[in-house]
Amino acid sequence: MRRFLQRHVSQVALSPSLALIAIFLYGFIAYTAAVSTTNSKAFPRFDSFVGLEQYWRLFHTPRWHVAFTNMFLFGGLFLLVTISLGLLIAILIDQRIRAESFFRSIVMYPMAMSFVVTGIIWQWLLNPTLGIEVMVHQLGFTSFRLDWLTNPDTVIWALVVAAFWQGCGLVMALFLAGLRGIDEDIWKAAAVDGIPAWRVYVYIVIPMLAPVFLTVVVLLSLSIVRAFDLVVALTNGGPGVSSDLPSVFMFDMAFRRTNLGLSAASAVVMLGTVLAILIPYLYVETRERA
Amino acid sequence: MFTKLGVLGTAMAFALTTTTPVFAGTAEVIHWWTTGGEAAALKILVEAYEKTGNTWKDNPVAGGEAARMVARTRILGGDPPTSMQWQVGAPLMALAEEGQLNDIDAVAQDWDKLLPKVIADNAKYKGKYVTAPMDIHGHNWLWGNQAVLDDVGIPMPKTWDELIASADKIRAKGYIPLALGGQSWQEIFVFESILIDVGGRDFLTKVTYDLDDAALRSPEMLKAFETFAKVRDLVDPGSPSRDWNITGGLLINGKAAYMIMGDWLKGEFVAAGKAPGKDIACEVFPAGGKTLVFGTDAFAMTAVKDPATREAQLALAKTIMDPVVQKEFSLRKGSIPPRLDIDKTGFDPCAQIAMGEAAAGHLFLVPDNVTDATGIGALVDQMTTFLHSKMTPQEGVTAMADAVAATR
Repeated sequence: MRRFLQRHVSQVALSPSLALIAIFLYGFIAYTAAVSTTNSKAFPRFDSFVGLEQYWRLFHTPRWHVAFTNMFLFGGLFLLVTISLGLLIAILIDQRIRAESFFRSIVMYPMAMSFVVTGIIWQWLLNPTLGIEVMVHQLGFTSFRLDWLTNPDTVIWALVVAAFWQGCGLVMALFLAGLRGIDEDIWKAAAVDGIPAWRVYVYIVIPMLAPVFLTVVVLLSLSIVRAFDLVVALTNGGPGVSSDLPSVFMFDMAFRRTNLGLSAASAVVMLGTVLAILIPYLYVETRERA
Repeated sequence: MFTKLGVLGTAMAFALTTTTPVFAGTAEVIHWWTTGGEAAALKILVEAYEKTGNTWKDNPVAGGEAARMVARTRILGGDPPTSMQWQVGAPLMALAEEGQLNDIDAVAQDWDKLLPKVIADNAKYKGKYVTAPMDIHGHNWLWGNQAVLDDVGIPMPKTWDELIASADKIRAKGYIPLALGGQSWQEIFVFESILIDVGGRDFLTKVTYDLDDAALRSPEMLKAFETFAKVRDLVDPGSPSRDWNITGGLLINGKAAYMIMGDWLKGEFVAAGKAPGKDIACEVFPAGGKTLVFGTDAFAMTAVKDPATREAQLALAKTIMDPVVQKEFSLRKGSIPPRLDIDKTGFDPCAQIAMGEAAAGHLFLVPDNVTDATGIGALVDQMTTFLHSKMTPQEGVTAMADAVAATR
């Protein structure tokens, strides 16, 4: 008995959490998939099997197309803006500037806000009748317009700005840690060779930050798929349904429209999308490092 | 041991000294009436109920959605509250079909004569009452700021054509023609009133109850979308996604001429010191449409088994339908009583109009309580998408009809 324990202590220690994960993660994923093949309304009912009908219905729902496209639009813009500006800020702060901790705090502070608070702050700022637009008008620039929030074509930018404002600090901190981990000798060697700083960054330093990029992309991707509270607080899906995201759609179908079958189908499609993007990425990244 | 005996003794002494009926029980009630006027109205019900010798166990949950979720979870867990704030129609029938409701016919013998037919029909499951209705709120009300209307020199419009025709004059004086909070649940009130305007009550029924494909693609529908497209120009740039109470502020403060909103808006302007029917004119819109779209707060009676709780439940149903309670409750809530035999004295002019509509049989139960939630939801999604886009009316008609068809 003792020898068994000694040999398998790690397995024994891990097994409770593995069991919990098996039930509460994979078990419920399977349960959701099962519900998506039924005609469940307010309560799950397994006596109403309809096959893939809910998926057919889902892809004939215009609002789902808006939500699904928005996820890629919002996700792509958010990743691009947050990573590029986050890296830029990290590089600027890394220049051994004066009052570094002061600037670092400024960038980091929004992270302390929840998405709900972030959403409400930006809702006020971007509201054309009481926010930034009114302020600029009062300064005398009356032709200034900032209607991102009320224009269905640009509302996604409002989401990106708010999400960037909140997420930038984390990205900056991760990149800064990565930059600080780079050997000083590389800089000295580059200086000896007379290579301009921007070329050192582009060709040497940034490629060396690849593991940090992986961490950042995974963390941000998760927050994209999770993005729910931000949308609810900032736009509530509006104007119309133009800023809907799949998570908001799913919640609406499950709890407001009491259509669990359709809601479960959208959840399964969301999971499939995430896996389709993340699995190849993780595969390539872990392969390269191995 | 001594304490136990002590408690028992006190309980017995209490039982002997009070004139409680034999079956005095406790009713636990889940509701979402937590704000000023709502709480004051609820107090009327609670006090009247406790006078019957039963105990009211208050279980307020802020927000209707949250409260319904709590109630549903309690029912699924086999521990239902005695009663809970609910709606009539489809949401109620969904519970009844699961066998989760008690009938209260023992105290509801004469309710068929007291209630409007549409409420009676939707409060019964297999011919037996399973809920007691507490109030009625109308949705398709047009409110007009009288000072603004006087300044522009126009009367309250009777139809959508008149309303749209007056917009230029209102704009010329620097006012917003229509205060609208651009969220789908607010916009649907506007859309429904346009449906009544183009095709009357029958058309509204075909579109929102039956989701009838022919009606959804009809020339009337195209006309409705043409009118609805003009609403885009009646509102101010801050409209999209704005909350209803902030939007109400535009009307109350004289920045906007009109607003279409349910009669709970009265609470906002009464709080601002404006009198309904005088400072803020009111009208069921379109006038002469013979249709007041309404929702009702009703207390669903769960399938409790314990005899004492069952008696408490019946006593609750009886108290809710008590004429004095019905009147005093609605006076504080800003609603109107479901009972048709309540006299109008004391009610404001707008509530009196609503009571007249109810008596004339013009009530139209809100489609949410009648139609399949996914089908009417698809209609609402397309309605709001259209309003916030540059789609032509014909594109709007097709998109809505297609989206609704996909849910079948």
